[in-house]
Amino acid sequence: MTMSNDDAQLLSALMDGALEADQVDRALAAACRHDGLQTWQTYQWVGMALREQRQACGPGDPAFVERLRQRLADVGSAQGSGCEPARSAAVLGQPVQLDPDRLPSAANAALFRWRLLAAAASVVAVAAVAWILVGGNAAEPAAPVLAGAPATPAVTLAAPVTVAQPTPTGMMLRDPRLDELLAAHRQAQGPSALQAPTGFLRNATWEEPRR
Amino acid sequence: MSAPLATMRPGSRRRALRWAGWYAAAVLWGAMAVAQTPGTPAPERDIGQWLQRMHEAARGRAFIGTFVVSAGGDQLSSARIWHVCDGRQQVERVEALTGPPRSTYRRDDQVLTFYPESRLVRSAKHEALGGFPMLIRPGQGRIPDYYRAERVGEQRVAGYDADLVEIRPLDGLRFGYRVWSEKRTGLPVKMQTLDASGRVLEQAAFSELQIDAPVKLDKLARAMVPAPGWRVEAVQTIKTTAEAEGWTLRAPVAGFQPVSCQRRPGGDRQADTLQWTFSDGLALVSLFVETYDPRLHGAEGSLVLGATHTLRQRLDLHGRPWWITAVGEVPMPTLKTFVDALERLR
Repeated sequence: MTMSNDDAQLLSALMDGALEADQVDRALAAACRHDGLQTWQTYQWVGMALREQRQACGPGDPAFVERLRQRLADVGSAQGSGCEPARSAAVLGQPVQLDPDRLPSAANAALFRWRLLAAAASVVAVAAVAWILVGGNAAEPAAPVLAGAPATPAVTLAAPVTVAQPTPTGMMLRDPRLDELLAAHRQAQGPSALQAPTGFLRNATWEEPRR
Repeated sequence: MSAPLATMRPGSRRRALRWAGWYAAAVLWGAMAVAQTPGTPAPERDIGQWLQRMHEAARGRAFIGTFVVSAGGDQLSSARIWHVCDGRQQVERVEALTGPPRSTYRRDDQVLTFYPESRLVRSAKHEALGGFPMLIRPGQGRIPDYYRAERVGEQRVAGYDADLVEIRPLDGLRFGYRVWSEKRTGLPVKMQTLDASGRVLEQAAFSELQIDAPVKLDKLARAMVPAPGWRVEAVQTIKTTAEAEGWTLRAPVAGFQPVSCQRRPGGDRQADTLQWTFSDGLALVSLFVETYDPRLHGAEGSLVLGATHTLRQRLDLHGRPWWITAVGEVPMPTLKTFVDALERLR
């Protein structure tokens, strides 16, 4: 005998923890009836599938059956339901074999797919905006370079991040004019005993802001 | 010589003692020879000798490698390097592996930087890159007054055994260095700039290296010719003197001598910029002087990029406002000393 819609909804609500105390007895009673356990197990598998706990899914998972058995026994004894633990044990004693290909799809499976699609679309949108903002115009050398934000102790030139030390009058940020002066300074690195070859190579390797 | 000496006849005893003496001398000579073989510590050199050896290492030699610049433990940039010198001229190619694509070619003191994304070539002349630095020539140099060098060990870098040389500053106006000098050639394969507490501000090193690689100078030099369609921009500077431009230092900064002064035309956008450079033989400081323009010049402040420190400040001298940018691989207080010492002659 198949479960009625009302009973199925009660079991679903029980699984979601959305039942009032007086409704729990009715839900447990529904679980003890004919295919109530099968429905309960089906709902468990669907929930785990939605939460990507695929490794826990599968017909006849003995660990799952044991946990469910214990839980029903605990809830039944605490609530004083008409579903006696002994009867529950007898009902639960047999492993349930389910054909995963014939599992009904979750009621909100379509919603879940739309959620996945929405999440993927938003990731793509964020990536596109970030590419536009960070990529910038690399065509002309005269294009201004935006100043970077002050950073913490590590110094860097590769990203537009600056280590700026506070002075009484404020913190200095990089700008295109400063980059020109830095380049001019590196160009003047002739009269140094460490210039050739390491010094020159260091200056030539030093990354420049995108022009 | 198994028989005890006491039981020998006198003639045999003398012969035995003579043989023993020759034997001992041979052993002693052998021990001295072993002590001189490779593997023993390198002979001690003073700082001038170490620097000269490092500077000359790239002459008459070719190498290829990957060069990495890093600071604070983070890799900042890297490049592929080709270097060849036939004794007359040096040619280098530096191919950036990070950041915007660019190739830098150097032939002696002429440097071309290619920017493929914009098909632009920047041409510049680097002062005194080809010649031997005057500041460390015997009798003229002052480096030994401000630095000491000591070989403190050896390490393997990029597959080559190198002497680890520590260059320590004798005052707080400059940074220290560690240079790994390849044992056979003296080529610096790794260099660190250290602050007063020994913290590594910046490191420049070969991550891979092939010394005496088969690099052809003419082939490398041919790549320096821009292809048709590329725009060539020459960086124009006018050689001048600080005195002619009306500038002087109230008091010299110990160890630093002025080495060049040039004016960079600002064009239509702004006034000219004066670049006055100083060196103590290892470190370089540039003082950039501009007429203060509130449209161009923002807040005063300082910046640290690896070992390069920068200080920007407005100076009001003789009723005129000036904008000073001091840049150098020196501690920030040294830059402040330079800026505070700047004075107008008129």
